[in-house]
Amino acid sequence: MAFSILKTEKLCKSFSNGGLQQHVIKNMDLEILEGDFTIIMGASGSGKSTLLYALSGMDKPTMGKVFFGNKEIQDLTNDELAVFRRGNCGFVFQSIYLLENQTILDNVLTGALIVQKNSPELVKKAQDLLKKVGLSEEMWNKYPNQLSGGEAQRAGIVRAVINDPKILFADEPTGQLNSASGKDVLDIFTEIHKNGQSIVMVTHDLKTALRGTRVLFLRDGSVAGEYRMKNYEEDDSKARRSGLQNFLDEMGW
Amino acid sequence: MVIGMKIVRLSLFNLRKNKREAAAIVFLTMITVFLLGTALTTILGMGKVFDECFSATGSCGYYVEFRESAYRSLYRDILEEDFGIKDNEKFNMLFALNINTLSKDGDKVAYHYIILTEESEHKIEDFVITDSMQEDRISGLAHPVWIPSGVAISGGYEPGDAFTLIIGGRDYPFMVAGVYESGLSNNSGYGYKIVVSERDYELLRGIIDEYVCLAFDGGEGFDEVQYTELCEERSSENLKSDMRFESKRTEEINETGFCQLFMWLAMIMACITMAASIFLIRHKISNDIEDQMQQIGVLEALGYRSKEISLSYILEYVLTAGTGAILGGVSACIFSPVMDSFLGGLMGRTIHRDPEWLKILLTAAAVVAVTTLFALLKAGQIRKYPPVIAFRKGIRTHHFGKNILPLTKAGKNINVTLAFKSFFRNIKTNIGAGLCIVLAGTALMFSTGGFVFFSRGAGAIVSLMGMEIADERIVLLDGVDAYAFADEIRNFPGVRKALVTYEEEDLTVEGSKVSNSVIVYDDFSETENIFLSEGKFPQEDNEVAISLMRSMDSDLHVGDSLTIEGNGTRKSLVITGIIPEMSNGQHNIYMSEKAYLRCVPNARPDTVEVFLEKGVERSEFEKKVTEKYGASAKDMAESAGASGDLEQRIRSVADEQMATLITHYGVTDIDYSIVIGDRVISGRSSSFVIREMSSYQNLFKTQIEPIANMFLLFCGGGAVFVTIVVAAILVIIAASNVRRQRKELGIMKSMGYSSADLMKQLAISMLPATVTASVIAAVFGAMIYKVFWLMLFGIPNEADTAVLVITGVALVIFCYIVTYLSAGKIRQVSVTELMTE
Repeated sequence: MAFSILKTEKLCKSFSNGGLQQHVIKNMDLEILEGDFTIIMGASGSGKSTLLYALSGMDKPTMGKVFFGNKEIQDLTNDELAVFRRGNCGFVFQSIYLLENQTILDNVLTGALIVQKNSPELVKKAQDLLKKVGLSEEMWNKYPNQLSGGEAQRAGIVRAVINDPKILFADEPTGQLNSASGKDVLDIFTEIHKNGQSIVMVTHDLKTALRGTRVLFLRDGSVAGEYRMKNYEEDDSKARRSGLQNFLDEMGW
Repeated sequence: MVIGMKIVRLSLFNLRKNKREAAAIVFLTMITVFLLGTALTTILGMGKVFDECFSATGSCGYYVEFRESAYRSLYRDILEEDFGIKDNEKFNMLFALNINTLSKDGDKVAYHYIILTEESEHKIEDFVITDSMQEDRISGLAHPVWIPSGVAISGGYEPGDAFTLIIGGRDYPFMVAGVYESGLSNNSGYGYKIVVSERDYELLRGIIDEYVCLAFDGGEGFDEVQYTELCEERSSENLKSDMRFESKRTEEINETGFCQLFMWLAMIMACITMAASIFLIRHKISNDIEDQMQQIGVLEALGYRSKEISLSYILEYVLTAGTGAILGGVSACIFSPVMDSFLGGLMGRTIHRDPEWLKILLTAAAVVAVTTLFALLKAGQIRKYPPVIAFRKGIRTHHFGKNILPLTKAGKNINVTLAFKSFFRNIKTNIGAGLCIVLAGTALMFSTGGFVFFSRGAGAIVSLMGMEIADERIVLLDGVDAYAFADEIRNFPGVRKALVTYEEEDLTVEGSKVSNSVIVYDDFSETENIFLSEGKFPQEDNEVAISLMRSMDSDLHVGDSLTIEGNGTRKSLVITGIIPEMSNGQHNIYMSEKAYLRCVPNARPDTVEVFLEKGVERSEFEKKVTEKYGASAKDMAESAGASGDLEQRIRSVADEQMATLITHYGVTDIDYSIVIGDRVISGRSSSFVIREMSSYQNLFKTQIEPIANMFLLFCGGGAVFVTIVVAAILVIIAASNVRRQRKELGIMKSMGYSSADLMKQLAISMLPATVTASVIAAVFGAMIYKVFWLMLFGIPNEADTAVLVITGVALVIFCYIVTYLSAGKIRQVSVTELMTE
């Protein structure tokens, strides 16, 4: 029985656009379970990214509640949210967003050292993780602009998981990568998920969505449908693909 | 045309986008032009202003004053025959040294006064009355006095006000009949010239030293030393203590010296502000180019040349600096009457100048031109970024450098480590900011050092006089044993110390044209306001200590010889010590009693300086002295008539007459007998012990306090001003850093760094620069402070180390707080904004 790790109640998010209120998320009740690899899909403007920010405490909802475990986070101040994110959330961005003036290892440690004290163990953990995602030792002291997009994104993933976050949020992490690099990155996500990491990922790519265990389809600010899958295995990709494709077709994707 | 419009639009866009930074640059330029314009026009115009004020009075340009008893007609002959000054006026005047006056608040203030009649006044100038009581009211006044504008301004007197001189403990009440503009003798240093009625002149003549004055014009090339030597040679008399000179030149120095000084300090402030402004503009251009790199690439790709793009940046600063310059220039013109009033207050004259539009306009144009030039040089950086490099956000972002402070070695606090990484990353900006803070900090240290020093009031400067300022200075009559008298005085209740010395006399140093006051003590270690900067106090009969100013002027050092001339003798003495001092023209000579007696064999100790315990009133002490030794001859000579029975009245009048003979005519021994019927009333002058009791304290207070207050105001204002400049520098740096690092800050926030963490990082990243700058500024500030005093006053007055340390620490804390608060824009950086880029 999986526990609820993240829950929303009547979540609303509106933006003011030239005096008009644009309701992007409408009264959404949602639960994210521990150990799930949740994929959020939907058409452009359906509120995918907005939901991701609201769930991760990067942005505050207009109304409604967000529970992270038992803790309500919607009323926290920006600084309290930052402190909350430190231990609980990891982020992987489409544009990667490594700190350009820091080496790859320092990028990872910058994320780690705000939570943990510096120690040889921590440094070794960072190095091991980098090795695990295929970044060899000679790359650790390189700067982001000296790496390819795929390599940089792998470093971004290591930075996101170095603190063992309760949830890993990813916003179209393969959006800027070529297919080979994209696959490598998705393999890493799959591997991480297998190790028990809860993941919430926004994507509009079918191949990426296949890696999830639960797909939420958003339409007009609400969850229009939900599709569940087993853990991803390379072998069952064909059946998995058609099942998801059918679901998405039903959703009008 | 299209390109031109595009350039203007880009400039306006940048201005609108960075309003705070633009406002700071406008502010700094405005202050620069204001200070520079005001200071330059004042410095350049001050001589003219003085000349105009002076010539408006029709005053002659030179006085030579002789004590009446020492004057010989041949001195006028020498002036006419040997110096060719035939057009001169001779008249008498009274010179009252250190006379207490009741201020309008009822306090005692002391001035030197030159007192003369209207007839004499007309001989030397036009007697231009600027404010006066009505003629019929003046004629009804018992004791009218016309005061010069200097007294009116410093004391706030107006026609109709009481003006009370206190001489010999007695009040001499006058009423201000009018205020007039005086050419010479309109400052507290040489004395204020006041005009009284002939009746009052006669009255005061009995109690104040009278001088014969020769007044003439065109004395610019007049050689005072040569004239004195000729007069002494031909009369075979020593005139050094009986002659005074006053000239337009010395008047001008006295009146405008401090104005000039303040204006030069204002110029220094302006230069600091301008340097800060230029640094900020260069920093901002760098940041803007980096920030707008892709836009620059697009423009270049569209065919705009680098030169055209850089013009938009230059135009931005022409607009901001131009606006600041206009505001500064207008402020300087508007401020002109206030400046006139300030100058008038310092000079003791009424000044009306038209604002110097042209000079201020030229200053403003120069400031804009310099600013534009520096902007032009920096904006040329765009040439380094052809389109492809610009699209890739410049080569600089492609970092291949050494990783300074790798996080594997991070300390306990990641914010501190990241801040230091950031410091090294932005080392050029930080060095620039550091240099600005060094400049501003040096001015701050100097101003704070000065402020703390002058906040001690006149006492602060008195401590640098290099002479004892006793609570009571008792000059004894001939024949009185000063040492025995001092022993008795030491036993008086409330007396802390009594030192025996000699009345100040001038001696000549071979090879020097200036006269030198001699300060004599048997044991200098007992003095408390005379300090050595080098060597030891003179003790033996062949030893002397000299002032620091003389040491510097004549390149004389400890161990060198000094030949003293006076009273027909020449003695060679060895310099044992150097004493910083700022009294008597900074050329005092310090000798032990033995040495002094070698040079002036007939001298005798005649003065006892009395130092009272804290809380003991001078008047109480004087009362006790009078009870024991009787009134001083001077007080007796100046006292009002007698009362009591006939014998008492006769004795009193006889005492008064003896006192007058002793005080004013140098008579040393008097006996009298008066027969009334079968009664003989007799007495002798030996009943007098004290010639005069006085104190320099009020005089120093009156003369020095306004200057100390002015310095206090200037230093305080300077410190506040510099603090604002530092704050402006930091606000701009912090704001532009936040703008430049917006993306990086968003990433950090997504990792869980709070705004407070990031603000802290930014503030800490400035600390190495501010701490280093503060330390350097403290060292520079201390050096400049010392040099300032040394050059100006001949005193190695050093800034208090504790003050420098506290100011340095306060500066660092201030910089930290300002940077932290200025980085508050970090709060507006949102992660979601980053994700939607």
